[in-house]
Amino acid sequence: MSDKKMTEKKDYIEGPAGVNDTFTINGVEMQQIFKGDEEKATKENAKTVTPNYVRREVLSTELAEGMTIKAEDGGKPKSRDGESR
Amino acid sequence: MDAIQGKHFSITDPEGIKTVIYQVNKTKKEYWDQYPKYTVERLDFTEEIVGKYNKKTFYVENPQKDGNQLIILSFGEDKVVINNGVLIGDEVKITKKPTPFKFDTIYSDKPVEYKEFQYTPNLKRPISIIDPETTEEVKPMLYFDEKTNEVKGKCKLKPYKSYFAFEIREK
Repeated sequence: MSDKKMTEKKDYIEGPAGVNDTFTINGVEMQQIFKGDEEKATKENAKTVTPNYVRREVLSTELAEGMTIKAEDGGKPKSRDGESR
Repeated sequence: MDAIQGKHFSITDPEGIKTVIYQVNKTKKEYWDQYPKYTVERLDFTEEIVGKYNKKTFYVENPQKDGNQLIILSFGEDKVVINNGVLIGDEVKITKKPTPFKFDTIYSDKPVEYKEFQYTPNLKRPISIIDPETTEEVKPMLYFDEKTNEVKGKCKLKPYKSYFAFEIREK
């Protein structure tokens, strides 16, 4: 990598994400599907599918000082008879 | 179905962990001589099983501009982790380091009665007792004390069983 490219890469990085930075981690299962008996992937005979994914939620065992959990609008939905479900 | 105005947020419990959350309420000044300054109220929640995890969504019905103080209790096999949080705006912020609390089994060869405490009409008691296995509150048995002319509450505890009790005290 040239010196110029390495400098550009450093310019856009502010620093490590801290405890006040909230984000989710989404995992995706990926598979390459081949047509027929082809073993070598080409644009024509292969496609990528994502049959499964996992979303990393806020775990109760990982709560830490300074951490934030997103809150959304809306109270508990009421049932048809007017009681909270 | 109409949703009540409020806020909600989610926390996911891994296998073996059960989380309950309480909101801390302030008592009106004119009632300070009768009731504790702070009481707790358990938040309603709904849950969704996702694989081995249990995603719980908690509801706060009256979000306040200056925040709603929350107590987050996560019960495991032999301990409970206590977290303090505050709902303010669109987020719940964890405000203190989590405090683990290990409880030992209370040994007794017969059921014992917990100490008496004053009953408040809307069940916002100063002391909350929780069965760590079910995370259900131990409900008080109410009776009328003729000597003091008050309605009081008593709790019965099962022998050989651990319970978790907490109260909110003014600093």
